[in-house]
Amino acid sequence: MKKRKWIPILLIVPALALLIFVMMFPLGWAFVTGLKSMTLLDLMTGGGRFTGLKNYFKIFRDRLFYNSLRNSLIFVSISVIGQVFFGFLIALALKNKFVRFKSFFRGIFLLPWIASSVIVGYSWIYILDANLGFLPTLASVSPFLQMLGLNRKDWLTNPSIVIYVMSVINIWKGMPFSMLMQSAGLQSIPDTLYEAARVDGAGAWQRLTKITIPLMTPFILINLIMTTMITFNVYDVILVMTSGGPNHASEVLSLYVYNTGFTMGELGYASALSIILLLVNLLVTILYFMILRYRERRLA
Amino acid sequence: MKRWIPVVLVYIALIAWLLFSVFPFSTTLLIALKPKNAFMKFPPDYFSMKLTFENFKIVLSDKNWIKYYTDTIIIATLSAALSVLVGSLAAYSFARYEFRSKEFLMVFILALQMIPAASVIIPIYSMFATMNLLDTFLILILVDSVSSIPLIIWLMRGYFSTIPKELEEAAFIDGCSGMKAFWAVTFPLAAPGIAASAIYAFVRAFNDYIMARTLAGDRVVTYTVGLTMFTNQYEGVDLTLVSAAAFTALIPILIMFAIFHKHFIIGLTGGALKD
Repeated sequence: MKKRKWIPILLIVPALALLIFVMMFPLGWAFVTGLKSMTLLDLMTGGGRFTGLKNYFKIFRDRLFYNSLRNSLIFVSISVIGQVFFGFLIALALKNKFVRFKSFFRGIFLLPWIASSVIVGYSWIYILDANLGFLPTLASVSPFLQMLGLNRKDWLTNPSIVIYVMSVINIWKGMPFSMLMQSAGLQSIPDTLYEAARVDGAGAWQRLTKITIPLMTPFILINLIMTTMITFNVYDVILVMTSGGPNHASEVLSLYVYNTGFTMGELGYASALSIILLLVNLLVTILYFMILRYRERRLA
Repeated sequence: MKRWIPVVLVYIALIAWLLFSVFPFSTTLLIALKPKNAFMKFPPDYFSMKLTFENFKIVLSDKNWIKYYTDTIIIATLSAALSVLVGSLAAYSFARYEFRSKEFLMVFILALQMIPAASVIIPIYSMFATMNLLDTFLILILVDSVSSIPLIIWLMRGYFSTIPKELEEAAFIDGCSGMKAFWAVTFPLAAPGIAASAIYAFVRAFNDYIMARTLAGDRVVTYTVGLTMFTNQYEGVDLTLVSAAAFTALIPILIMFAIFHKHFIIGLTGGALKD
């Protein structure tokens, strides 16, 4: 078999070629175009002229950029904490040995996650829309919902709450991923530990705080960071529901990149923003490996 | 005596989240089952029991909607096939062979996976626009495949490395060619992984909205983009039709999910949860 040294490389070539063609080339293009002043109209004429770092200087004075960064921070932190927290609770609930119909529950919980963002977006619009929405209609006749303060009509039109509404919808859609990840973690805790603790007279609360939570910490940590990495780039449901409005109030960073490129047609500036988005992702990734390294060193 | 209290609390939590999970979908279904005029007045009529299948009949015989749907199935099927083929080949190589630059290539692919789609969508659009490839099946198949390939490589590498090399060598000695040994021995054993990969890639491509909207949407229209066109077409007039359309698009995924439930979870969690 030795003489066929080229076989392993040959098997990788198709995958590599596709990845380079669809990921690497565009990335290179973004680097170059980020240094140009270029619009959608320039694209077909091969136009655009080099302006150096001008786009990047512009970013640091761009009010909308800071606005999108702020929205991203709100959106990501609420979504991530919510998803991981509820994911943990539900995974824990599904591990309880007295609970029946586990795969039924788990199957239904996965629905929001496997439905397309367009269907999810529309379904939530139908619930929240000021005139036709189910929730405002129901709230107008239900004293109970009025008591809870849910009788508002401006879920999607009030600039000061719309980003929180999007975060809650993202928790709703993203919880199943955390649930699955943490179920995998819970599976790895041997039952014998719990039995031993029970023999020693530990109550349910003690078993939770002394066994489950310490042993789950690495899984929760990895889950937190993975969800953070994913959520920074999530904008499809927001695009469907509000396109970032009203008045940029729900425009997260990734959506700002998209809108700058395709709504405003500013390809050069949007490319520079793409690179910044990539750097934000890189930062989170580095943080991820630093935390993992730190934990390993502490455990060693 | 107090033992049942925690279990009841657990059930309450599970049922609460269950209701939260299905609430938007059931609202959409309810709207889809309403007669046309239910939403032409204010307040809209959510609470009467007048239901009809009329909207589903209209949507399912709408030529445009059928075209959008067929386009989506074509794209999702071909991109699943392409990404599983290309991904398994690479995974097989990583699992079976030792070669120079193997480490580098694996890290390289992992790094490419970290590049967010949001930061390459502008250049992808621009590049393919200059190549005149926009609004074709090819472009969506390529882009959708690439978004699944890295995960498929990791998943399949795991599967291939659990299959003992000796099995293949035995087939080899019995006179099979290298290729035949792979198809006759390794491939069937890796079938669960391949099924999970294929379903993962199919669902990703089937549900894609941003790429389909940005890179196509004129001649090649997926159902996700078609749904937004439906909305514009019937805007303010017919909420019920759009809901019915959305629901017809949700049902195939639900059926697939019910059948392949297990593969689904393996694929979507990259093999982290196998039970």
